[in-house]
Amino acid sequence: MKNSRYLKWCFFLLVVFILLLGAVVLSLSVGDMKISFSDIIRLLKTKEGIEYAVLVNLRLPRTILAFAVGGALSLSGTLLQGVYRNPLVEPYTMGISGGAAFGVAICIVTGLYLKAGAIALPVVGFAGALLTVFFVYFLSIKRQGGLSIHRMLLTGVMISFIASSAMMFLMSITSAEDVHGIIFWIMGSLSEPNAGLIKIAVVVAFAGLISSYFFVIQLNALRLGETKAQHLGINTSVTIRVIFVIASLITGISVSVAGVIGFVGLVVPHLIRYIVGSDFRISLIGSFLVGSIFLIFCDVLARTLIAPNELPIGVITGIAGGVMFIIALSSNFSNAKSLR
Amino acid sequence: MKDYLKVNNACYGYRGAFHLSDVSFGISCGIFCGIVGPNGSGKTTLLKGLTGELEIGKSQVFLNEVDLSLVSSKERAKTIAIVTQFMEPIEVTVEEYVIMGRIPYRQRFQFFETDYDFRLAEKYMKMTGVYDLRHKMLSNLSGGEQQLVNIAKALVQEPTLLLLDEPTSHLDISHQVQILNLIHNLTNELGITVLMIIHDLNLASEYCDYLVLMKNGKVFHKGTPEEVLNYENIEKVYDTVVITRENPLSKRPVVFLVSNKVLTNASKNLN
Repeated sequence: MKNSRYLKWCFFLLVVFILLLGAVVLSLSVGDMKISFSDIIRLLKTKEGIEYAVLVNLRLPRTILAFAVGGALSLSGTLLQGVYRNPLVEPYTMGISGGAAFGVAICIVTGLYLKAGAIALPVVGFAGALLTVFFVYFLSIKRQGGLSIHRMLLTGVMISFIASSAMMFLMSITSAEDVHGIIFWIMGSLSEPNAGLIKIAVVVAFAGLISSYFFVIQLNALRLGETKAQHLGINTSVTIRVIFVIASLITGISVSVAGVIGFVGLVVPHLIRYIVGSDFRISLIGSFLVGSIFLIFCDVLARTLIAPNELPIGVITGIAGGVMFIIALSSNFSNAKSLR
Repeated sequence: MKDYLKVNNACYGYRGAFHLSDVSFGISCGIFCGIVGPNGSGKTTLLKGLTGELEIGKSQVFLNEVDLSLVSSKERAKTIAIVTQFMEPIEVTVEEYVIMGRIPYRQRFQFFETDYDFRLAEKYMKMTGVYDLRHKMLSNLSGGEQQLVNIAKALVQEPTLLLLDEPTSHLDISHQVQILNLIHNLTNELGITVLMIIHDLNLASEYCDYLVLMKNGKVFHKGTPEEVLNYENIEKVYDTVVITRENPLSKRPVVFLVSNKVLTNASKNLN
């Protein structure tokens, strides 16, 4: 029994790795300039020509960013759905995207980004995300110490609303040009010119994955509910805090580098539970990798559907994710019930 | 004989709200002890102190002569296990659920269960009679089966003290008897000490070796079922008219309720 379960996990990971490799190759070869798989290998050896420049300077960074952001967002969704034991939670439920978008809106409206340069938007976005996270966290501390999970969820949703209303307000009193800039940022894009930011996103995503594995047993116990996890000797309040911080950080970085890319953090965790079950030992790495694959594919679609123009990646993830989700639900409703 | 579990003037409770007052009793190893009393009398509060959900003061509870307030939550989970009334039916198989009882024994970076863990899970699933259900999803089981799985998970923790909070309250009589027989066997064969909250006084009388009757956060009376379950005690604690008789086979007391209708008729006949 136990061996068959571990074998199933290995098989799942193998399939996922193959798919990931396929997605990366597809993402590198598709575009205005078609580069076949054998060309990619040849180019990486010779390191010459305009094709090599396109590959290394445009497509590779973009693919790497899609990998990191997709992985980070769906890992964050898995962690938060696990802690809150609520299948409708996603990274943005915590008010993180609202805070980040509000920060960016202020930055654009006040013209700060013109003075500080392109790096200003991600920095301000991250600051906005962190600020909301602190709000949500401190408003949810119970008088007896410890965090109230319910209050955290509601505070997050409320702060989301407040931030988006405040942003609407800013947009309604500002020029059309600035409004366009804000909307463009909110819709999300993976074409990030700054190599340093991409590196940060990758490092943070991996750090989030590794550090969440330190709490994998606690997360598994939390599936039983907070009290029953305590009965098994788990310090639930520390676990919830740490997981919340990890999820917030990786979401905050993703939002500030790539904008608001919805639905990845909601759909992928469901998909993973549907395929391999709720055991976090496999679902953490599983959701990370499947999230990466999903976002790389979505990015390929975003680049090619109306080429030479580009669709906002958020449009693709929303439609593709939603349709996938509905198909999964209607094909086997009882198994997709997720955590509860 | 030394008391295995010794509750010594326990006064813990909820911050700024309900508190136990001077609860004291002791039970020796392998005893099946029932806690009875009306709603709000402090039964669950008592258990919550033992599981660590409520903070207990120094020298209020001793387990095997060790002050429980000094024991870490992880060590506690290796000696005390609790079975609650309901379980949330999460989407895992019975075997996965039962083996979660081994979590207190995990080393820091141990991601996988050991063979010993699997052998224990198998042993206790067989003992509780859920081994054939081990590949089924928990949410597809009946209430009685879920409760048996719950007990199996608690046993996998290898506790020496097993706490049960109304384990039979929503079950039919066949499952009630099955579960209480099982618990009785645990005390007899494995030497586990059991502390069980139970509302049904007749089941308490039939199965428990020792009873603690509580009222308003205090111990009203404690002793064998014969000593505790007489009509005077019950009427004082529950404000309800009852009659007690002896079970012809087990010689344990049986409690009969008396309805208002019968009570007025009886008093008319007396006049």
